[in-house]
Amino acid sequence: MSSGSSNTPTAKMQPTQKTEVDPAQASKPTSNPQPTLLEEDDEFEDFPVEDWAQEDTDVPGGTTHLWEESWDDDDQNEDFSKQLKEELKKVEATK
Amino acid sequence: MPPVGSNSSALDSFLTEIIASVRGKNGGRITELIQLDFDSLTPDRQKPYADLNQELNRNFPPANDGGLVSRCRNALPQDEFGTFSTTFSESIIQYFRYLRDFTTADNQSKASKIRQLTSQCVTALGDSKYGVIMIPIVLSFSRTLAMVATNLDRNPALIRDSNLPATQNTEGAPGKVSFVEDAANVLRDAFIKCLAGSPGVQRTSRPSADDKRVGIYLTANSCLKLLIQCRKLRNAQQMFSSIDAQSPPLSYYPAAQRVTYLYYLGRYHFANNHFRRAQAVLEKAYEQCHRQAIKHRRLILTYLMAANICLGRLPSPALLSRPEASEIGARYVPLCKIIQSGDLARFQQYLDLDSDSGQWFLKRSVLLQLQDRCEIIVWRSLIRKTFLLSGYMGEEKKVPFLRLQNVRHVASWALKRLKDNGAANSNGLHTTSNGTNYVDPEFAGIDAAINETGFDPESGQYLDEYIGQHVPAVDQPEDPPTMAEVESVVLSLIQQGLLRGFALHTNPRFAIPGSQKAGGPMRAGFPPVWSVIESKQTEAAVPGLVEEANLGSEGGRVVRIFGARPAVA
Repeated sequence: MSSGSSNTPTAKMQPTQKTEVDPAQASKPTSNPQPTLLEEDDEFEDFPVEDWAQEDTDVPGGTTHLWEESWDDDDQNEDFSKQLKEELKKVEATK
Repeated sequence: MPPVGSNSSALDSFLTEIIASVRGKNGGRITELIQLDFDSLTPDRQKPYADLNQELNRNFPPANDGGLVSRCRNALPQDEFGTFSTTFSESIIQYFRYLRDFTTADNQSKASKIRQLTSQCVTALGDSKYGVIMIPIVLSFSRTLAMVATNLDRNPALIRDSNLPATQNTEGAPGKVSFVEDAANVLRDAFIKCLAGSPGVQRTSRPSADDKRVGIYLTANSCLKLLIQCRKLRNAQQMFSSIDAQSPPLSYYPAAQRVTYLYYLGRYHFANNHFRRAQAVLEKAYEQCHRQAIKHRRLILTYLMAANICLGRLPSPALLSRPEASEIGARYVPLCKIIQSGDLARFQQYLDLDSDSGQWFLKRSVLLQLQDRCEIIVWRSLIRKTFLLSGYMGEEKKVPFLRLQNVRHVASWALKRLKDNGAANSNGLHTTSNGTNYVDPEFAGIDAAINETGFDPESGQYLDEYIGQHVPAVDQPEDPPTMAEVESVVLSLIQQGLLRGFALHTNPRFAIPGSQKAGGPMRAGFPPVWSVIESKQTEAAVPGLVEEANLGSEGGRVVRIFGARPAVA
């Protein structure tokens, strides 16, 4: 990127009360989706736009239940559980 | 002094426009003028720079660098511009040198010139009267420098192909800093100047375009990018402390700067094992990120998932179905399954340095944290399962308990099972297979030494009567873990609140009192990990994150002292 192309964000950067963004600009991030090269994308690149509105962060489906807080697995038919059960029978048998 | 008959000189008209912009304090115009990447310009905009390049090489070639220096210094009279005359004309000289030499210079010397130019502009930014015009210039160059330095570091071929010898050692020879680290230091200086702001400005006021504080997070982000690149993120500690002490709330800044900053802050806390802090800021970054910026969301989620897993919260199917989660989910889901199952050996295997998955986590700098923090959660699952399958569930007035011998047995079985598999493929479980009979080289000949000297390891004394009497202990044939290790794990889990109950040593057991009231031994003895960690949370604010609410309520904070400046008339 050149210093010239950085001028746009610089000029837009003045924090003001209003946060609405030109919709044409706000939709820019995906106008050209990049192929997902996992080995290359570990750098957090500059965003193509400087600011966006709260609505632009809303994801379809909302943000409810993104994390499992109670995940204890009582499924005794799961492979490891089955083998564990067999192994514990051996312990009981030796008593 | 403009030479006679120089009306057509590109340099003169360029300088004239620059100086007019300084007089008008129009930093934006100067930023437009001093382009670095000419290739990105349209052909008609490229021409003036090509003309300037030719003129500079004709009139002020490197051999006549002194001529260029005096030409620029004369253009900015000290009488009018004071001390800014020196610092700014130095910046312009650096720029013309870049412009003059960029056609012949290699990538590294170009980068080095951009570094010098940025550094000089940062110096000019410090000017009390004219410094404000440097704000957009410094911000623009900071981004460019961060990009150029990262690019060079990631593509060493760009340096190697050059004709000049590559003098920078990216590995960092002792006492020598790499180009990336050096550039990070320049950006840190810019950050400090921005943070200092202008005298008399209230900390809680929103920074305007001509307030240096407008650049706090932009320069911080550029600097943090480079610190991550050169693996010196720990050097950011002082920056975060300064932000805590002086910065306006992060919410005053545009979304791109907020999200980028929260990402780096989260990575910093994660790297320092502060998973709760990391989780808190990364979650904010994720929530505030543009929904279409999938690549950014994926990077944030990579660390947000790691932090949550360390805290005992696993990604839900809803989260995993999001586009940004597809690739990272493929790595994290097996780990979550292992944590749920309690399969100790699979856990060690999955996060082994030699495995594909281990390398994937290592590359993202989350491997060691996952290894260290999640192991105890896997143990909890194993103990829980063992309890479920073989524990005494209790009756009226009889306390439920689990024999720790059972835990030891299944842990040993699980580890051995993998070791047997591991022998077949060379990527065995190094930690366990070597751990059983590992002797530190320092103690290799200890038995012979004791026999010879009469050293008593218990008391640390040399006793003559011990000489020749020492009988070496025979290695225990017992498979790991030992009962002492199992007890230690159980006690650690109890201490952390992840198991609720007590341990008995003489007849080793884990017992769960009061289970009837609490809805059975499983619920009473094995509270969800996240709820335990969450309930211990006492810290209100995350270091490095300035929020409006925190500034208002905490009158006694040190920040107030920093914020107290003499009033300016």
